[in-house]
Amino acid sequence: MSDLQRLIYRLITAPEGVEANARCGRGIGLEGIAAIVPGDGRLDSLERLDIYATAYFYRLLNCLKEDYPTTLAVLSEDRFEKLVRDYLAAHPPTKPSIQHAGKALPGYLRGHCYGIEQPYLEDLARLERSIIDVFHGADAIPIERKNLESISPARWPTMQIRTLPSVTILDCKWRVGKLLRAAAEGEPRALPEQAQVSVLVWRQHFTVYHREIEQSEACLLKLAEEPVAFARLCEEVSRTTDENDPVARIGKLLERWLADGLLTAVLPGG
Amino acid sequence: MNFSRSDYPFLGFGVGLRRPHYILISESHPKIDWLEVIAENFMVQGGRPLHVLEKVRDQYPIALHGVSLSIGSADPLNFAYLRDLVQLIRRFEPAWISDHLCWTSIAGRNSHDLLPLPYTDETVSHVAQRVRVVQETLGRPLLLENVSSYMSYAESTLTEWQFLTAVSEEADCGILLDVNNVFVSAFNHGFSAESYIDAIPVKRVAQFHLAGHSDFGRYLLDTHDHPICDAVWALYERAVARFGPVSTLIEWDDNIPEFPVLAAAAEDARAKHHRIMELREVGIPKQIERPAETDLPTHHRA
Repeated sequence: MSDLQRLIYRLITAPEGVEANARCGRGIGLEGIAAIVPGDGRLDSLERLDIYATAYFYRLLNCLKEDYPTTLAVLSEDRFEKLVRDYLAAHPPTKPSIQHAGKALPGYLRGHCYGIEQPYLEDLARLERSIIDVFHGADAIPIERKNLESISPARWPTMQIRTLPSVTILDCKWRVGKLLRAAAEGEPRALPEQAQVSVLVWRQHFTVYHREIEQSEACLLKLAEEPVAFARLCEEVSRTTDENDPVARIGKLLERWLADGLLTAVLPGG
Repeated sequence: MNFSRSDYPFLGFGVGLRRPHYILISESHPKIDWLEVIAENFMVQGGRPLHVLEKVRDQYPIALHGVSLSIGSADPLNFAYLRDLVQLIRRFEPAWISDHLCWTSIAGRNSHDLLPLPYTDETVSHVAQRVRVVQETLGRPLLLENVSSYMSYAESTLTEWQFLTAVSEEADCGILLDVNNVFVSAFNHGFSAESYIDAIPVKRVAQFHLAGHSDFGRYLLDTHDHPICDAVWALYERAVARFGPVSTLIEWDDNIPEFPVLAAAAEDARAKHHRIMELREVGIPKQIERPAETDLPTHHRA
């Protein structure tokens, strides 16, 4: 059974196609196929296997098109199809849910000829993937301003805050957030500017948002990926900001984070 | 773990819950008897899909339908997948759980397709043993669905209906009889769809599937992107005449129409079901008891 299933899997997933795989040096040969999967007057053995081979590739291609719509728009249909064919040969799906099938595409692009030609594609695909992952990320109840106001000022320094588990920060070499917005407005071919930027991706009321943030804000949010004392965040602001008033700076950031629903698990200190 | 058809309520006529209808169904609660949910679409940590399913579950009975159990694989059972399935079952309390009599993965790789098995006694034993383990893990019987297929194996010694029957008897599980899949496979392999329906044990069938397929001339493809054709409706009527009241579900996965189109197909199924059940009550007329072989267009004949 195992040998049979491995053979069928190899034939229907072969990037070169069923017939070429069967005919290759280590292939089973057309007669070998016919001895296992018989044909008849309606369809011969190859045609029958080709139905599965076509379904395998196009099912996954359509899934990846949905996952990476802007990468698709930038590359165009033909090049995206070639990318997916190459990608599936290198990263065949291993998870029961097809939603995971395209997970490794951003990393794969780094070494692929299209990713080398257009080096921003990796960042673009990473952002598109993050949007999906944040969309399906673990639920948590964000805190609101009133939750913080109920905590006495004396306890703020030891108060623990953290970001929601779905909050993600990407460090990018290209301003791909702008490209994504341009694509949404029908301009996917605008070349993104090369710049070290951090992109915050988060979910609020089941809608996923993204925006560029300063490096200093990214550092603070990364610190808060695990529960962190508010005093520790203030120290970090003092250390990294040029502003004269670090308290005002953290206050402003806190306001924004609360408005965006980024924070949860506030544990009042002792 | 004993399967008894009487443990499976007649839920009526439902449709598959699909993304384009999430908002409508979860917020407006359109009239439909029940919904079938693709389990893997909800094996996520959080976010809108699970929230939608909670709201849907508050209003409708649901059944969980898996596509990746890979019950016929030569690989070991995927217990991480089964744990995710158990979590969904505990959270959403489906009326039942179903998956396909096929294999989808081998050597740790997933084809994301429903690949047919060789129909042999050895395969029956292999699958039945795995079904029993799955049923123990899930704490309830499983329904196995017949798949549409485009190839068969030279080593098969049983017909597909003999295979399906043997697995369900040896594993003591139920059958989700996909009427469209019977029709598609019958055409592609040149067997009688009617003989298939007539051979499946009545006591095992707890759900029907209905769907549309695509006609490529020399073969039919189970695309779930068309209305149900007349020949499949005729086969459904034959199935209702044989199996009686069985929960029926309309599947539509591509080119998904507005919800009222799906709901209308479910109502069509209800009307046909009621008509056949009335005929059963007054005595089954000959054309229902032994209808003519499904009449295929001439280009469908081998």
